Amino acid sequence: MSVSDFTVKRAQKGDKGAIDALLRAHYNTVHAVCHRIVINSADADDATQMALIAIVRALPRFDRRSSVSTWIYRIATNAALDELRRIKRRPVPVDDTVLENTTLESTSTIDDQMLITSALRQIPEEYRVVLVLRHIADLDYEEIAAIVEVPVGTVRSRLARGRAQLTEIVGNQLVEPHRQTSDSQIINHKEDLR
Amino acid sequence: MTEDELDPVIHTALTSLPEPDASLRDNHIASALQEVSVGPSRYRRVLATAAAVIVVLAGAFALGRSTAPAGPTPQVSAPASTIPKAALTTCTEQFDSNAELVHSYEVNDVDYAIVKVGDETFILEVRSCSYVTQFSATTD
Repeated sequence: MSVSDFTVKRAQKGDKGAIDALLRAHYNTVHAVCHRIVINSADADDATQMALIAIVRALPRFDRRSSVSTWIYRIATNAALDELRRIKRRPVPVDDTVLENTTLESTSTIDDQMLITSALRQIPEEYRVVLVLRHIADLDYEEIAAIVEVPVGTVRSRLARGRAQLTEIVGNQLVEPHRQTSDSQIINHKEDLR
Repeated sequence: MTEDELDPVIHTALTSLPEPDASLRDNHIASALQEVSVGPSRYRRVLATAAAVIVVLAGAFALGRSTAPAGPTPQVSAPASTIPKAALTTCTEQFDSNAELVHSYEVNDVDYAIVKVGDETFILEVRSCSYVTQFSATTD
């Protein structure tokens, strides 16, 4: 969902209705970017909140050199990376899953989410960030390069490596023709993730 | 599968995060919106201070000129509008750093400015620097 240039201008002038519309239009993607980068659910929610606050504070200085969505995802990415740094400084890591406090429709969905979450956790942060920006935020290479501040070629190679690692870790399990899992298997996945 | 593609099954699993809880979303947005009243008011205070400094300097300059010995006076053309130029400039810049002031006018003691940003043209009420209406370039 996109918002009009007019809404962005009004938001930049401090119009609360326009800011509300801007944040709502991008909330799900900001939330998804934070969750896929940070992984831990509670910390990802914190990152989402920090991202929204940072967006509101920086809006008057948005210079339109990029699209507003690219600018917003840059802020979300930085908020998620800041949260990861805070997590690393914490003495006792808290380890939960993205599934907590959420409602999912089927056991196969739960199974897939468990696998993808576990796989993302194993992928280096620099690969995870570009994978999330490419496949969740739907940004092109140039936009990703601007956000992570590396050359386009580096984005390309990180994406290739990230995809290869992700496929290697989860590929065979997700693409199995018979993916119906029993409750006991799901419990085992949950145990693996803890 | 091209270089830029992820296996469709993996892509679906990666992107199909459950929708965030609506109450969490509303709380997050409400908290962020609380920042709005903080930011712009500070900005306005800075602008008000800058405007006050300009007024004081302009006053001092005028006073100095009125007390200076008479001599050859450079001709200054009359302004096109009675609206203070500083207010126009401040409002234009506050609206958009790339905005270009096109014209200003007064109707019923209310000052208006026409500014252009790219292909879009806006009318602003100068005193509050608030948006009145907008026109977009058309290719008829």
